[in-house]
Amino acid sequence: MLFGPSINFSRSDWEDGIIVDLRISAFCGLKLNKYYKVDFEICKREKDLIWRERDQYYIKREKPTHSVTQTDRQLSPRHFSPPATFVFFFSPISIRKMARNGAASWRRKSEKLDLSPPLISEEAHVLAVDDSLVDRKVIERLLKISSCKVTTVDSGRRALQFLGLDEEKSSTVGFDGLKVDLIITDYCMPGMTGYELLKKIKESSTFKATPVVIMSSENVLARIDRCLEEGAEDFIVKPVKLADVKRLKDYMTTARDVGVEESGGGMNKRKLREPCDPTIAPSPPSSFPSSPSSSSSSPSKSPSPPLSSSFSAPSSPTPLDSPIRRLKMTNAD
Amino acid sequence: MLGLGVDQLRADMNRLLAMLFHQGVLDEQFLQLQQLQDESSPNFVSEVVNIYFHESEKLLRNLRGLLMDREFSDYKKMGTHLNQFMGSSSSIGAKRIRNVCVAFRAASEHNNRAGCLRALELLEHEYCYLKNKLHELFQIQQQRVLAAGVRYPMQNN
Repeated sequence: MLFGPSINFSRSDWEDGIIVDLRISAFCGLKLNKYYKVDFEICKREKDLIWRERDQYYIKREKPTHSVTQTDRQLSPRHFSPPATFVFFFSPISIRKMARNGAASWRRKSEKLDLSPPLISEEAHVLAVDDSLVDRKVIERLLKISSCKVTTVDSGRRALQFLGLDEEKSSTVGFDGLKVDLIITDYCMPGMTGYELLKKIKESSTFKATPVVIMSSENVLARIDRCLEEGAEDFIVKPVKLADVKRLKDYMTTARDVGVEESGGGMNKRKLREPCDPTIAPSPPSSFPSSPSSSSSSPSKSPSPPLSSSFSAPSSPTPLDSPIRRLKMTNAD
Repeated sequence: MLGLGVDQLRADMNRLLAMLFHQGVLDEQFLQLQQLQDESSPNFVSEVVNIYFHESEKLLRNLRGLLMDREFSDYKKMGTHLNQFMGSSSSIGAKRIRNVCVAFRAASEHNNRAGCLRALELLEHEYCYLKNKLHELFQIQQQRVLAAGVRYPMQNN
């Protein structure tokens, strides 16, 4: 995979605001970010994602919630530098770095306002492991329809090879470029069981933070407990449904999320260390259009960083909603 | 005339599905599969079901081969086949087949060869029935697609 996606920064006038398009070529998918010009005071107050270009400030919004001044409308694309095109190796981390050094003047403020480049919210990449072809087809479809990139393999061994964890044969594709956000595996497989695969993943230094979900057609409490103790994020009883997959999206590492994240990179690091901790309970998922009530002109420490809304994040899981608890409750029948 | 054909076919399809649900042959997982079918994947259900048929026939042959062997004793191997069959059947919503597999497995865990044979026959019967009905369903769907394609511009679908 020598050639990665290309990013075009292009701008165009659009009604009340300026659209900044960050396009990644079809290889990765397309995403449009819309920015509306505001003055700096509003930015500070709203603490939304801000892009600064040549002393103009733009705030990332779905719709403008403030009235746009006449001078704003007069801005035309030719006031800005021409679009730039970059070609990167396919690596989310390198994309982020390059975009930061790119043609637009991304500026990171020292206050808590995050000005890191608003990257494409890339699709999550899920590795699905199941020896049954029927199940592989179904889980692949379920994940794709939930906007995930999917790689399916038919055994634990192949999964380890893909992740580059197989001692004998390592993946021909360097895993740096193939970030895996979630691993979902069947429990009962010939050769290496899902449980053994889970252990190997959690023993590795590279993937132990990646959430692993176990699927099984057997609703055996001892098996569930064993998997959870070994570090599985969740346990799904087959047949897998769309509702199960939707729930999984909460677990996926959000390192590539577009952020209304108070502490940009810091938030991501935290997420990586604790992939799914419902007690962190990110309070209100980024309320884009509404300004946070606790806004103030001085950068204050927010209690917990809000989740990006790239997955239209649901509210933080309540204890009752916890799948584990629900599972235990149903077992109590 | 053509318009009536489409409606008739849709009614046939719904009636067939309703019957299969009522009989317990299919369950809600089959509906889930249908929900996963859309313009980007218009043949998803039939693709998955055809894979299921292909795999199931192999498994059934293996099971019969094992049981027909006079010196058969490898119940563990039979259990493995059964688990596979059970898993894929539940993934497509083949409820009755799955239930027979459960009974089959119970018999095999008790090393009850006669019970296993009976279960296998029932399994083959259920499988044939499901296969016929689903083929019928897919045929009606195909006819619907064809009929809907040929229509007057003024007609609404």
